[in-house]
Amino acid sequence: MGWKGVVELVVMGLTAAGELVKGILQRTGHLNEADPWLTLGMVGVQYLGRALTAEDNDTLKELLTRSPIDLWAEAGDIETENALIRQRQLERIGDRD
Amino acid sequence: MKSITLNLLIALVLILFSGIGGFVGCNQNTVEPHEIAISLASVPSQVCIAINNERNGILEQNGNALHEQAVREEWTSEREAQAVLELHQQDDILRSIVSPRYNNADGELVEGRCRIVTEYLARVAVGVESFEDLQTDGWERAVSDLLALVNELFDVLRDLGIVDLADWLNERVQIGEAGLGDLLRDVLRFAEQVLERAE
Repeated sequence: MGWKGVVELVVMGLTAAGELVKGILQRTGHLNEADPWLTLGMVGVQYLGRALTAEDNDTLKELLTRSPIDLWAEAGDIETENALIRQRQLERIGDRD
Repeated sequence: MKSITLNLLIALVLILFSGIGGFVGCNQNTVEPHEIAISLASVPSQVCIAINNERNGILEQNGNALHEQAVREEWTSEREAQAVLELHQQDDILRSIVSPRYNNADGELVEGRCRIVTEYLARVAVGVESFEDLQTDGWERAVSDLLALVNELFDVLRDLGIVDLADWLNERVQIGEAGLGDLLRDVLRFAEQVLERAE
């Protein structure tokens, strides 16, 4: 068998391996070519997944996936200070007169 | 014969790239649809909370700028009072969006709209196990409400002198190594994709 035969064998081998990987991905539910949502899912992965899959940044993933219900419950109250600022701003006008 | 060899080489390269792509794709798929869905609710919540935390600073800064202008241009006290009240009205609008809880004009304790929208989105995201789960009317409505609210937020903040919300957030809030503004841009792009597909 000459070098062309070797190349052909390699190509066939890689094709078979590619099909095998594709089959495994389909079987495990990671790939469904008929599913239009795969494209959308990958768009989401492309954007948010870039941050979510950062191997060296588990903290980021943890923070990005925190429940808004917890986040809002922990949010600080600024309304008392806000009322004081408004009052000072109005009083300052009177001082100028 | 040469063309056959060339075709084989091209096929080899394509298969290699495909293989690499497969590995990359496989790795990216370790992100669960649920995680994407919850971050779509979590990032805007963090944006609204961050803005609310800066609200008093914005009010103070704009109030000082207004007062200096009034002194410099010798406004009457009536004119300055009117301008200050308009500033407070703008802060009222911002508060109705980003505050976790506040007393409205009728004295009722109510939650800000961003909290209502993002908490609803989070509740919808709880049941998401695949991207097909994001195809429900409830999910699309929640994403649509979120987009409308964030766009409104951009307009309100522009009126208060914050021209680019994303850049403004990037300068103030980092989540891990990422700027919150960049994360918001990612969320908005994804939300737009969700709605485009729904159409």
